[in-house]
Amino acid sequence: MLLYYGGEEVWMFNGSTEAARTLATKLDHLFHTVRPRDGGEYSHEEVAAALRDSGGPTISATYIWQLRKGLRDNPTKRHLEALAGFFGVPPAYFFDQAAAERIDAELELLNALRDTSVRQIALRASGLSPKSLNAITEMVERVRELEGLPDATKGA
Amino acid sequence: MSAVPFRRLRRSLKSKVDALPLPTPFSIQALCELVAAERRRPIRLMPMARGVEVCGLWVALDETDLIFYEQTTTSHHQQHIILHELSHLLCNHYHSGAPEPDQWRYLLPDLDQGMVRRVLGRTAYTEIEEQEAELLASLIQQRARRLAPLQVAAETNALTGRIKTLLDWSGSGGPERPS
Repeated sequence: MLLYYGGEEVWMFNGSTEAARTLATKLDHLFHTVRPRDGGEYSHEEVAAALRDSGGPTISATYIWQLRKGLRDNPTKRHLEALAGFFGVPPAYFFDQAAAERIDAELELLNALRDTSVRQIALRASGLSPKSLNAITEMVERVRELEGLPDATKGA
Repeated sequence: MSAVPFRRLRRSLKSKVDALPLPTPFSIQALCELVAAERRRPIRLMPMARGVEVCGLWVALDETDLIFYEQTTTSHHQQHIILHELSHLLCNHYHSGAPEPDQWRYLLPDLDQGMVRRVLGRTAYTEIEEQEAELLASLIQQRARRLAPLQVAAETNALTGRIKTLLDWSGSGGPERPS
Protein backbone atom coordinates (compact mmCIF):
# COMPACT_ATOMS: atom_id res chain seq x y z
CA MET A 1 0.00 0.00 0.00
CA LEU A 2 1.34 3.42 -0.96
CA LEU A 3 0.76 6.20 1.57
CA TYR A 4 1.90 9.76 1.72
CA TYR A 5 3.52 10.55 5.04
CA GLY A 6 5.09 13.87 5.88
CA GLY A 7 5.18 14.79 2.22
CA GLU A 8 7.05 11.63 1.31
CA GLU A 9 5.72 8.47 -0.22
CA VAL A 10 6.05 5.64 2.23
CA TRP A 11 5.56 2.00 1.46
CA MET A 12 3.52 0.58 4.30
CA PHE A 13 4.30 -3.02 4.81
CA ASN A 14 3.44 -3.02 8.52
CA GLY A 15 -0.24 -3.57 7.83
CA SER A 16 0.64 -7.00 6.61
CA THR A 17 3.30 -9.32 7.97
CA GLU A 18 3.01 -11.24 4.71
CA ALA A 19 4.02 -8.16 2.71
CA ALA A 20 6.90 -7.44 5.10
CA ARG A 21 8.10 -11.01 4.76
CA THR A 22 7.88 -10.69 1.00
CA LEU A 23 9.99 -7.53 1.04
CA ALA A 24 12.57 -9.17 3.31
CA THR A 25 12.57 -12.35 1.20
CA LYS A 26 13.01 -10.42 -2.01
CA LEU A 27 15.81 -8.27 -0.65
CA ASP A 28 17.52 -11.35 0.74
CA HIS A 29 17.11 -13.03 -2.64
CA LEU A 30 18.79 -10.08 -4.37
CA PHE A 31 21.75 -10.27 -2.00
CA HIS A 32 22.09 -14.01 -2.73
CA THR A 33 21.67 -13.77 -6.49
CA VAL A 34 23.34 -10.55 -7.52
CA ARG A 35 26.93 -11.12 -6.56
CA PRO A 36 29.95 -9.75 -8.38
CA ARG A 37 31.58 -12.25 -10.71
CA ASP A 38 34.55 -13.17 -8.57
CA GLY A 39 33.20 -12.44 -5.15
CA GLY A 40 30.71 -13.26 -2.45
CA GLU A 41 27.60 -11.31 -1.55
CA TYR A 42 27.75 -7.55 -1.27
CA SER A 43 27.93 -6.48 2.37
CA HIS A 44 25.32 -4.14 3.82
CA GLU A 45 28.10 -1.56 4.23
CA GLU A 46 29.04 -1.83 0.54
CA VAL A 47 25.44 -1.29 -0.52
CA ALA A 48 25.00 1.71 1.82
CA ALA A 49 28.28 3.23 0.61
CA ALA A 50 27.41 2.69 -3.06
CA LEU A 51 24.02 4.40 -2.62
CA ARG A 52 25.65 7.30 -0.76
CA ASP A 53 28.36 7.67 -3.42
CA SER A 54 25.85 7.66 -6.26
CA GLY A 55 23.94 10.51 -4.65
CA GLY A 56 21.02 8.31 -3.64
CA PRO A 57 19.12 8.47 -0.37
CA THR A 58 21.02 7.96 2.85
CA ILE A 59 20.33 4.48 4.15
CA SER A 60 22.45 3.04 6.92
CA ALA A 61 23.92 -0.43 6.64
CA THR A 62 22.00 -1.36 9.77
CA TYR A 63 18.71 -0.26 8.25
CA ILE A 64 19.37 -2.33 5.12
CA TRP A 65 20.12 -5.31 7.33
CA GLN A 66 16.87 -4.72 9.26
CA LEU A 67 14.85 -4.57 6.03
CA ARG A 68 16.49 -7.76 4.86
CA LYS A 69 15.69 -9.55 8.11
CA GLY A 70 12.10 -8.28 8.15
CA LEU A 71 12.74 -6.30 11.35
CA ARG A 72 11.78 -3.04 9.66
CA ASP A 73 9.00 -2.65 7.14
CA ASN A 74 8.70 1.06 6.44
CA PRO A 75 11.06 1.88 3.58
CA THR A 76 10.31 4.98 1.52
CA LYS A 77 9.70 4.69 -2.17
CA ARG A 78 13.11 6.28 -2.74
CA HIS A 79 14.74 3.64 -0.54
CA LEU A 80 13.19 0.85 -2.57
CA GLU A 81 14.10 2.49 -5.86
CA ALA A 82 17.66 2.95 -4.71
CA LEU A 83 17.96 -0.65 -3.54
CA ALA A 84 16.41 -1.95 -6.77
CA GLY A 85 18.80 0.25 -8.76
CA PHE A 86 21.80 -1.08 -6.88
CA PHE A 87 20.85 -4.69 -7.63
CA GLY A 88 19.92 -3.92 -11.24
CA VAL A 89 16.22 -4.82 -11.11
CA PRO A 90 13.19 -2.59 -11.83
CA PRO A 91 11.59 -1.14 -8.64
CA ALA A 92 8.44 -3.06 -9.63
CA TYR A 93 10.24 -6.13 -8.31
CA PHE A 94 9.21 -5.11 -4.80
CA PHE A 95 5.50 -4.51 -5.33
CA ASP A 96 4.29 -6.09 -8.60
CA GLN A 97 3.88 -9.84 -8.28
CA ALA A 98 3.74 -10.57 -12.01
CA ALA A 99 6.89 -8.51 -12.61
CA ALA A 100 8.57 -10.16 -9.62
CA GLU A 101 7.83 -13.61 -11.01
CA ARG A 102 9.40 -12.76 -14.37
CA ILE A 103 12.40 -11.04 -12.79
CA ASP A 104 12.93 -13.98 -10.43
CA ALA A 105 13.01 -16.32 -13.45
CA GLU A 106 15.67 -14.10 -15.05
CA LEU A 107 17.67 -13.95 -11.82
CA GLU A 108 17.51 -17.72 -11.55
CA LEU A 109 18.86 -18.12 -15.07
CA LEU A 110 21.56 -15.55 -14.35
CA ASN A 111 22.53 -17.47 -11.25
CA ALA A 112 22.62 -20.79 -13.11
CA LEU A 113 24.93 -19.24 -15.72
CA ARG A 114 27.39 -18.13 -13.06
CA ASP A 115 30.71 -20.00 -13.10
CA THR A 116 29.72 -22.16 -16.09
CA SER A 117 31.82 -21.93 -19.23
CA VAL A 118 28.70 -20.87 -21.17
CA ARG A 119 29.82 -18.13 -23.53
CA GLN A 120 26.66 -17.75 -25.54
CA ILE A 121 23.09 -18.96 -25.78
CA ALA A 122 21.08 -18.80 -28.98
CA LEU A 123 17.43 -19.75 -29.11
CA ARG A 124 14.47 -19.39 -31.41
CA ALA A 125 11.94 -17.89 -29.03
CA SER A 126 11.87 -14.29 -27.94
CA GLY A 127 9.90 -12.45 -25.29
CA LEU A 128 10.24 -15.46 -23.03
CA SER A 129 7.67 -16.35 -20.39
CA PRO A 130 8.84 -17.27 -16.88
CA LYS A 131 8.04 -20.88 -17.82
CA SER A 132 10.37 -20.79 -20.82
CA LEU A 133 13.07 -19.05 -18.81
CA ASN A 134 12.76 -21.85 -16.25
CA ALA A 135 13.17 -24.41 -19.03
CA ILE A 136 16.37 -22.69 -20.18
CA THR A 137 17.56 -22.55 -16.58
CA GLU A 138 17.05 -26.32 -16.39
CA MET A 139 19.21 -26.79 -19.49
CA VAL A 140 21.91 -24.60 -18.02
CA GLU A 141 21.70 -26.74 -14.88
CA ARG A 142 22.48 -29.74 -17.10
CA VAL A 143 25.52 -27.85 -18.35
CA ARG A 144 26.54 -27.33 -14.73
CA GLU A 145 26.26 -31.11 -14.21
CA LEU A 146 28.41 -31.77 -17.29
CA GLU A 147 31.01 -29.38 -15.93
CA GLY A 148 30.87 -30.83 -12.44
CA LEU A 149 29.70 -27.59 -10.86
CA PRO A 150 27.57 -27.55 -7.71
CA ASP A 151 23.83 -26.99 -8.02
CA ALA A 152 23.31 -23.23 -8.37
CA THR A 153 20.06 -23.42 -6.41
CA LYS A 154 21.75 -24.80 -3.32
CA GLY A 155 23.01 -21.47 -1.99
CA ALA A 156 26.21 -19.58 -2.66
CA MET B 1 16.73 -8.08 -40.80
CA SER B 2 16.94 -4.65 -42.37
CA ALA B 3 20.74 -4.71 -42.62
CA VAL B 4 20.91 -7.29 -45.44
CA PRO B 5 18.24 -7.64 -48.15
CA PHE B 6 16.64 -11.08 -48.04
CA ARG B 7 17.67 -12.03 -51.59
CA ARG B 8 21.30 -11.19 -51.03
CA LEU B 9 21.28 -13.07 -47.74
CA ARG B 10 19.74 -16.09 -49.43
CA ARG B 11 22.39 -16.00 -52.17
CA SER B 12 25.23 -15.78 -49.72
CA LEU B 13 23.83 -18.62 -47.59
CA LYS B 14 23.23 -20.72 -50.71
CA SER B 15 26.93 -20.58 -51.54
CA LYS B 16 27.60 -21.64 -47.97
CA VAL B 17 25.32 -24.67 -48.40
CA ASP B 18 26.91 -25.60 -51.75
CA ALA B 19 30.35 -25.53 -50.15
CA LEU B 20 29.18 -27.74 -47.30
CA PRO B 21 30.33 -31.37 -47.54
CA LEU B 22 27.00 -33.10 -47.01
CA PRO B 23 27.37 -36.70 -45.85
CA THR B 24 25.84 -39.45 -48.02
CA PRO B 25 23.61 -40.92 -46.97
CA PHE B 26 22.58 -37.75 -45.25
CA SER B 27 22.19 -37.91 -41.53
CA ILE B 28 22.07 -35.12 -39.03
CA GLN B 29 24.52 -36.95 -36.80
CA ALA B 30 27.08 -37.39 -39.60
CA LEU B 31 26.69 -33.72 -40.54
CA CYS B 32 27.30 -32.69 -36.94
CA GLU B 33 30.45 -34.81 -36.92
CA LEU B 34 31.72 -33.17 -40.13
CA VAL B 35 31.06 -29.69 -38.80
CA ALA B 36 32.63 -30.55 -35.44
CA ALA B 37 35.74 -31.89 -37.15
CA GLU B 38 36.04 -28.79 -39.31
CA ARG B 39 35.61 -26.43 -36.36
CA ARG B 40 37.74 -28.61 -34.11
CA ARG B 41 35.10 -28.24 -31.44
CA PRO B 42 33.02 -31.22 -30.36
CA ILE B 43 29.24 -30.95 -30.78
CA ARG B 44 26.92 -32.67 -28.34
CA LEU B 45 23.26 -33.28 -29.15
CA MET B 46 21.14 -32.92 -26.03
CA PRO B 47 17.48 -34.01 -26.18
CA MET B 48 15.07 -31.93 -24.12
CA ALA B 49 12.45 -33.84 -22.21
CA ARG B 50 9.60 -31.37 -21.95
CA GLY B 51 7.60 -29.48 -24.53
CA VAL B 52 7.88 -25.75 -23.85
CA GLU B 53 7.99 -22.67 -26.05
CA VAL B 54 11.70 -23.23 -26.54
CA CYS B 55 12.22 -26.00 -29.09
CA GLY B 56 15.92 -25.61 -29.74
CA LEU B 57 18.88 -24.01 -28.09
CA TRP B 58 22.54 -23.69 -28.89
CA VAL B 59 24.83 -23.25 -25.93
CA ALA B 60 28.46 -22.42 -26.69
CA LEU B 61 30.81 -23.54 -23.95
CA ASP B 62 34.51 -22.74 -23.85
CA GLU B 63 35.45 -26.06 -25.47
CA THR B 64 32.21 -27.59 -26.74
CA ASP B 65 29.01 -26.70 -28.57
CA LEU B 66 25.79 -28.09 -27.13
CA ILE B 67 22.66 -28.38 -29.25
CA PHE B 68 19.49 -28.91 -27.23
CA TYR B 69 16.47 -30.04 -29.22
CA GLU B 70 12.83 -30.81 -28.56
CA GLN B 71 12.36 -34.57 -28.61
CA THR B 72 8.57 -34.72 -28.35
CA THR B 73 8.03 -33.78 -31.99
CA THR B 74 8.32 -35.45 -35.42
CA SER B 75 11.73 -36.59 -36.56
CA HIS B 76 11.56 -34.13 -39.45
CA HIS B 77 11.00 -31.28 -37.02
CA GLN B 78 13.78 -32.55 -34.76
CA GLN B 79 16.12 -32.54 -37.75
CA HIS B 80 15.12 -28.98 -38.61
CA ILE B 81 15.66 -27.81 -35.04
CA ILE B 82 19.12 -29.36 -34.94
CA LEU B 83 19.93 -27.88 -38.38
CA HIS B 84 18.86 -24.45 -37.17
CA GLU B 85 21.18 -24.63 -34.20
CA LEU B 86 23.94 -26.12 -36.37
CA SER B 87 23.46 -23.19 -38.72
CA HIS B 88 24.41 -20.81 -35.93
CA LEU B 89 27.75 -22.61 -35.87
CA LEU B 90 28.09 -22.57 -39.67
CA CYS B 91 27.28 -18.84 -39.81
CA ASN B 92 29.96 -18.25 -37.25
CA HIS B 93 27.56 -16.62 -34.86
CA TYR B 94 30.18 -16.89 -32.24
CA HIS B 95 32.56 -13.97 -32.31
CA SER B 96 35.54 -14.15 -30.05
CA GLY B 97 35.97 -10.38 -30.06
CA ALA B 98 34.99 -7.96 -27.34
CA PRO B 99 31.47 -8.58 -26.04
CA GLU B 100 28.89 -6.03 -27.10
CA PRO B 101 27.35 -4.10 -24.23
CA ASP B 102 23.77 -5.39 -24.37
CA GLN B 103 24.05 -8.93 -25.61
CA TRP B 104 22.31 -10.63 -22.69
CA ARG B 105 19.32 -8.27 -22.96
CA TYR B 106 17.66 -10.75 -25.29
CA LEU B 107 17.42 -13.38 -22.55
CA LEU B 108 17.33 -11.14 -19.49
CA PRO B 109 15.38 -8.04 -20.61
CA ASP B 110 14.36 -6.84 -17.12
CA LEU B 111 17.80 -6.92 -15.59
CA ASP B 112 20.19 -4.02 -15.74
CA GLN B 113 22.81 -5.02 -18.30
CA GLY B 114 25.61 -3.46 -16.31
CA MET B 115 24.69 -5.75 -13.43
CA VAL B 116 24.50 -8.76 -15.77
CA ARG B 117 27.99 -7.97 -17.06
CA ARG B 118 29.30 -7.65 -13.51
CA VAL B 119 27.89 -11.08 -12.70
CA LEU B 120 28.75 -12.82 -16.00
CA GLY B 121 30.77 -10.73 -18.40
CA ARG B 122 29.47 -12.68 -21.39
CA THR B 123 27.24 -12.44 -24.47
CA ALA B 124 23.92 -13.52 -26.13
CA TYR B 125 22.16 -13.46 -29.54
CA THR B 126 20.31 -11.12 -31.87
CA GLU B 127 17.20 -11.41 -34.02
CA ILE B 128 19.16 -11.12 -37.29
CA GLU B 129 21.33 -14.06 -36.38
CA GLU B 130 18.21 -16.09 -35.52
CA GLN B 131 16.77 -15.49 -38.99
CA GLU B 132 20.05 -16.24 -40.69
CA ALA B 133 20.30 -19.58 -38.88
CA GLU B 134 16.68 -20.41 -39.71
CA LEU B 135 17.19 -19.74 -43.42
CA LEU B 136 20.42 -21.71 -43.60
CA ALA B 137 18.74 -24.67 -41.88
CA SER B 138 16.03 -24.70 -44.58
CA LEU B 139 18.57 -24.46 -47.40
CA ILE B 140 20.59 -27.40 -46.04
CA GLN B 141 17.43 -29.48 -45.82
CA GLN B 142 16.52 -28.58 -49.41
CA ARG B 143 19.94 -29.57 -50.66
CA ALA B 144 19.93 -32.79 -48.67
CA ARG B 145 16.62 -33.69 -50.35
CA ARG B 146 17.90 -32.79 -53.82
CA LEU B 147 21.03 -34.88 -53.39
CA ALA B 148 19.14 -37.98 -52.43
CA PRO B 149 15.52 -37.64 -53.54
CA LEU B 150 14.84 -41.36 -53.32
CA GLN B 151 16.58 -41.73 -50.05
CA VAL B 152 14.47 -39.29 -48.13
CA ALA B 153 11.56 -41.57 -47.28
CA ALA B 154 13.82 -44.38 -46.19
CA GLU B 155 15.91 -41.93 -44.27
CA THR B 156 13.01 -40.51 -42.36
CA ASN B 157 12.66 -43.93 -40.79
CA ALA B 158 16.39 -44.32 -40.41
CA LEU B 159 16.55 -40.86 -38.86
CA THR B 160 13.99 -41.85 -36.27
CA GLY B 161 16.28 -44.70 -35.34
CA ARG B 162 19.29 -42.40 -35.18
CA ILE B 163 17.47 -39.84 -33.10
CA LYS B 164 16.52 -42.64 -30.74
CA THR B 165 20.21 -43.48 -30.51
CA LEU B 166 20.91 -39.84 -29.75
CA LEU B 167 18.31 -39.92 -27.03
CA ASP B 168 19.96 -42.98 -25.54
CA TRP B 169 23.25 -41.12 -25.28
CA SER B 170 21.97 -38.98 -22.49
CA GLY B 171 20.63 -41.99 -20.67
CA SER B 172 24.02 -43.68 -20.59
CA GLY B 173 26.26 -41.11 -19.03
CA GLY B 174 25.81 -38.28 -21.50
CA PRO B 175 25.90 -38.00 -25.27
CA GLU B 176 28.84 -39.13 -27.27
CA ARG B 177 31.36 -36.59 -28.26
CA PRO B 178 31.92 -36.60 -32.03
CA SER B 179 35.56 -35.88 -32.64
